[in-house]
Amino acid sequence: MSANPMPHASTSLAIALALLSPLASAEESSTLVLDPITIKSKTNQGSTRPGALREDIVKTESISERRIEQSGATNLTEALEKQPGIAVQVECSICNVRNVLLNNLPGRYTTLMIDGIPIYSSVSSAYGLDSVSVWGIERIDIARGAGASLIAPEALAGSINIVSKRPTQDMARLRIQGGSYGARLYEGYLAKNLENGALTATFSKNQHDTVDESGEGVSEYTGYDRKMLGLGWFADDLGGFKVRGRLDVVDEQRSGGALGTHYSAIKADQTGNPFDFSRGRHGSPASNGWTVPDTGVFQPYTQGRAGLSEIIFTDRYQLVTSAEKLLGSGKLRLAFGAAEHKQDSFYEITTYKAKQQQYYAEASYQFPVAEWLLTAGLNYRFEDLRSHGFSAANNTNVKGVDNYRYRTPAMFLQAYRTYLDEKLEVNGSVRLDHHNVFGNITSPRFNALYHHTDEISSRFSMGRGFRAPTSFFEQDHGILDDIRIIRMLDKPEKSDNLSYALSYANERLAVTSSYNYNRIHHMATLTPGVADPAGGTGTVTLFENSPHKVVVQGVDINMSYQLTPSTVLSIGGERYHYEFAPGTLIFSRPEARAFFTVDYERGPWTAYLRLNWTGPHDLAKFYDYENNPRYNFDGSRKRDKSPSYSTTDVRTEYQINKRLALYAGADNLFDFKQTDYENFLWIDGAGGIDFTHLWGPGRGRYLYAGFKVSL
Amino acid sequence: MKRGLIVLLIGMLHICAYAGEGPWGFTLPTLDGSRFVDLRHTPKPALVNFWGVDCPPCIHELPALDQFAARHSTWSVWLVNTDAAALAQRFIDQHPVQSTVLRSGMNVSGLMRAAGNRTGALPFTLVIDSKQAICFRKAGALIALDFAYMQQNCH
Repeated sequence: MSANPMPHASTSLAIALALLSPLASAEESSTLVLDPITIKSKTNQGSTRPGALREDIVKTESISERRIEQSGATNLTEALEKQPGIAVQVECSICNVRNVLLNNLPGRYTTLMIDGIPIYSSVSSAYGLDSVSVWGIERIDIARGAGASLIAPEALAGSINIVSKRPTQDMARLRIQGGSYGARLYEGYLAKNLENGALTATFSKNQHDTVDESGEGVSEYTGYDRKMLGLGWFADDLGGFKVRGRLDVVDEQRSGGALGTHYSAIKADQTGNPFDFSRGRHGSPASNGWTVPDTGVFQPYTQGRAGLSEIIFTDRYQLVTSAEKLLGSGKLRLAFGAAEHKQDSFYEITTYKAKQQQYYAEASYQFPVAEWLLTAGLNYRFEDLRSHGFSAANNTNVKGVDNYRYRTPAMFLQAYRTYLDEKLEVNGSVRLDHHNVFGNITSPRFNALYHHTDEISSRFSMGRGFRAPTSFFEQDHGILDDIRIIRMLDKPEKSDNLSYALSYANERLAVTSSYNYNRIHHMATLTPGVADPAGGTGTVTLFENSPHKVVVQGVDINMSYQLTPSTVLSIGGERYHYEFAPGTLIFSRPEARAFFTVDYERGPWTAYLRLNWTGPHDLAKFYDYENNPRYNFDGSRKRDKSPSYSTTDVRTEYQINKRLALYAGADNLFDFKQTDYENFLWIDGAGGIDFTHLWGPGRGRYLYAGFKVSL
Repeated sequence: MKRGLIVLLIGMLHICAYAGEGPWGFTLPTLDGSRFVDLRHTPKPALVNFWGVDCPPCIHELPALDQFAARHSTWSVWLVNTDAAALAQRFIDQHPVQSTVLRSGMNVSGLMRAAGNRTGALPFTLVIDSKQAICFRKAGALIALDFAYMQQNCH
């Protein structure tokens, strides 16, 4: 080739290291001081297609700022849902606690990070994720598989990293949106560039009414009022360090069950029956109660609005900051995170108040040795939970039923190099964590990326992760009625993961398919309501390691095609298989899902259409009908399998001028609701009521419109 | 599950069979979404510059590229943006250019890798001559000597 040679070193490794220098120049012979090269396009995230991959050796799906904007998402969970291999699962129809699932494994196995710093626990994820605003972020990276992140071994299912956007120009943006069900959203973003850095400020206020689609007076979609304030800072050269960080303050109130926002009145209403149990599918013959399936005796409901209501107040402060500096031939990284999470909650008369503190500190150094790029580091994680409350079932105050304090210093080492003229990239890593309860735990990981051609690549990963179980009540609300938890587990939960992904992409067609195998050992299970073995009068919860393995494996595919210069079509799908014993996977998952998306962008117009198909859930298996059959209020059995269903989301936006854009959209356009087929409420054989029969949308058609102003 | 794996393997084989080699080029949509541009059928020499809105050296050299295009009417100049189209459009509205801006397509990193830019460094500039060969390429900001080199060696 007659081209002048690329002014780079012979390997990506050398280039990467060379580019660490702020004065790195592409022009070797020039005497001028040039701007540095920007490594930015190691990603195809500029494409808005679903499942867009970053060029990392670990298969990392990236959701760009634009993709988030186009989907109309207002928070993190909305940005992540409805994609193959990634799902948002609602685990309670009254409190709407939601978790992000990767590879269809339980949500507590997903680790959330902000700018690479793990600062969420299973406690704070439960009610914290909904308050994470999507403004001011550059992208969300999702890495599926145990130990996919070197610094987050507890991510048995994978990790999600929110990357803050470093602004390059002064900016002021405002979004105001209104929608069905009393939804209101106000969001603002300010960015100010300084001589050697930038500052940002983000605020949002998001509210939504409680929604009851079935008509008996108990909600399926939880009302909320969320407020968030965030401050970000970026310094390009602070004593040689490149620094970034953010501080977020979250204040959320949510209420489900009885309708209304007069929380004190709802809590105080603890007698009589304000509901109509004859309404909705398979309603009771009587409005004030139901027949006990095992005995045929009528059971009236007498606990007022409070007896079926959940009201949760969340206050959270979180700070993350990191600094990087060139040192010798390598790069030093320091990171720190801190969070305080307070929860004050009311669960059907029982109360629960908790305070959690988390700290994270990390120091790592990345440096070349011969052909290798090594990363060695230390980190320390501290997680503490203190709770107290009132057990309605035992009519007693309780303290510290789910308290725990975990301290985990760790060291890690990762080695990376390329072979075959950079066609093959390999990376091996190992962590040693010293857990104050579970002792020393080793987590190895191996990744390989092979570029068959510039358009086709294969990724192979296998590894192990561990998680120190936490007895947080969101895994089972029954804990709240017990006087204490007996910890019988002596092992951490462990996950073995193997995955293979094949990707093809040219300018107009992109296809990624993957196979994932996940095996969980020693899954932690909670068994509430057990008679106190010490002979006390109250009941206790047993916290144990399950002797049974849980295996979840699946295949998924994403395919996008640039149909016209302005239109991209995408289809995606997943098929999963679950092997588990009763009591391990306790929230049902579908066997298959599929998606079809149309993205249109031309001139001032953008439009977005997404069809989401969800296959049947094997409800009898997940909810263990064999040992615990579920009934409707009219005494009929709940469905063994849910029906498959589809929902449609649409959104369009028009940019009027440089400053103003209008948009409107609809989620669940054709108004599919689970309550049209089956109620979320269910009763067991003894007549006990619960509200965790979940397989479909709790909210019907949601219409919204708004405008955005950019200055 | 087995069926899924078989489908995956068959897909692999089909995809591998589809892979081919040829002169470097692309078919990318224009930023305004009005048409595709097939580089193979554009006037040569063709200067292709990959850039991003968050890449300071990229933004810094856009006016120089625009000037080069205005002074060399026999050349075609294509500015391939690596961001989402709306973000690029927002930038271009505020910082207009005369040259044609293209969207990134589905595989901009693979496109650059095929042209020798394995790390995806920006800005990245290359010139295709009338023989469909790459006669110039550079990762990093262009300087006057680069433009002189292009004019001298690319026809």
